[in-house]
Amino acid sequence: MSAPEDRNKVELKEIEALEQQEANAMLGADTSTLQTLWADDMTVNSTANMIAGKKLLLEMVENGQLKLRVYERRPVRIALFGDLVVSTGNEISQLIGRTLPEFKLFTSYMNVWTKRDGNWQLLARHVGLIHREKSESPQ
Amino acid sequence: MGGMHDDEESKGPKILVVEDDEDAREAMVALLQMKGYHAVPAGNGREALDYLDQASAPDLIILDLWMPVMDGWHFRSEQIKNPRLAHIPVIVVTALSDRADVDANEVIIKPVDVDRLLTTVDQYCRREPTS
Repeated sequence: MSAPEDRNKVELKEIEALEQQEANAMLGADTSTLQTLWADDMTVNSTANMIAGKKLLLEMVENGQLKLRVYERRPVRIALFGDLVVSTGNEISQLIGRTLPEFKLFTSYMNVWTKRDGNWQLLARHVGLIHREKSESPQ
Repeated sequence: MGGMHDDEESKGPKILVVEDDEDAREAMVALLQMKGYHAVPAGNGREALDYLDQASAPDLIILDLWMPVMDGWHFRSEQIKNPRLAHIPVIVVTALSDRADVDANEVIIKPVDVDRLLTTVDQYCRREPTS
């Protein structure tokens, strides 16, 4: 395997780990990790058809408006384009208490990561709804 | 109504959110509540009119157009016909790109840019934008 291919392999492994780290930080409402992983100019388009940025989303996590009971992420394809990486996959999530009964959301996502000052950061994210179902055991 | 209660004791300007999509409705209500508004959800135009018939008038209505039971166009025509409700400003949120079809104070295209929505809401509720 050539040196560039080795480098790409390492980068993709790193992104795969960051994808899980970011998902775990969301689940744990770990805003200090999210602050580091999210680019300041990050844009997110959610299943609610609302476009929000880093500041507001961090505020929602801190205030408990974006608190997750379940959050699982499964990347299907991760592709490297120089200093950009596009990761596509599916997720299962369940927000705590925003609706009663709570709903489990099955979604597809596309995350765009960018390398800035040697560190990968999440720059853009789009989430599309695949299926929504009532959770049987919300508590 | 829309899975949530209306607490008339809540502080802040009152905003009626009329949206059939549960994700969008609850996300918008949560966002507005976080920003200090008293947000009340309704799942369609009929639910919204029933609410307005019984409760004090809100300061603002955020209205989707494509909804079951009673859509946003029908709701708006009923609202305008009612002297008690006609003065309430309406922000329409829609995926429609033809704004000429919409009778509203403001039209915001979906997906909704939250920063723009909050700025517009603040204008109609006569508050300084919250940071």
